[in-house]
Amino acid sequence: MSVIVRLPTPLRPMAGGKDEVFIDGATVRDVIEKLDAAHAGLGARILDDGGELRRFVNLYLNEEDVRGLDGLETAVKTGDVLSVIPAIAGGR
Amino acid sequence: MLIISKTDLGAVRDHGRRDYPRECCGLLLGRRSGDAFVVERVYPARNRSPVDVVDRYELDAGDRHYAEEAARALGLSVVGFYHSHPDHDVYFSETDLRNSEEYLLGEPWLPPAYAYLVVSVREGKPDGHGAFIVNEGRSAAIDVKVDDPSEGSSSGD
Repeated sequence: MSVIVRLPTPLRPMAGGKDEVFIDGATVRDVIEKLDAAHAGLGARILDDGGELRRFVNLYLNEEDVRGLDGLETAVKTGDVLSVIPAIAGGR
Repeated sequence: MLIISKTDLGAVRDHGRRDYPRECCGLLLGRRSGDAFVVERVYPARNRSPVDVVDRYELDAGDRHYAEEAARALGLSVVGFYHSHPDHDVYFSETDLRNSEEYLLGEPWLPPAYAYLVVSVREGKPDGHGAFIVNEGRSAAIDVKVDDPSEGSSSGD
């Protein structure tokens, strides 16, 4: 099942400059692992050393934050859009 | 260089005034032209930091997602972010740097991905502004050019 993964600007150089890539997978975790296999290093930008979603990274499956679904175990289907959305912050 | 219309800069300044004494935040949608960040829309976002915190912003992830989709629909991309500094000068703080998207994603060493526009708001009134990039792991100020169609020319600062 092919999912569209949309990447934020800083990660695009790791995917050959593309803003979106097509990845097969059955769950969100599966897609991220295959994304890393296709574009080495991208997985580590999204998941921590324990294989969990990094605190400052959000994943939206279509319009839903996967943290509000089944997290990384959320099932995906062909045509779904998985967006990597960093949670930026700052302060003086 | 950051290129922004007087109207869009005015919208950012107004957002800073409305949210004073808290920090406001939002996104800059547009396109890249060489090294320049050309802003064609500004997109106000919600600040998710606690309401009693006036010196921090956490840009709402849902708003960020929606802005990305809006940019895509317009044939644009997210070229940067903005936030305000209530009763403080325009600068890019260490907190701003460490929480920039480039740092959060572990890629502060790549070519600058975004421009960060900062507006100062003094006693509720918008004051100065400046823009910054994350370059080779450090922040650097860039010029801001304000396009004012009514004057038929641009002014830099």
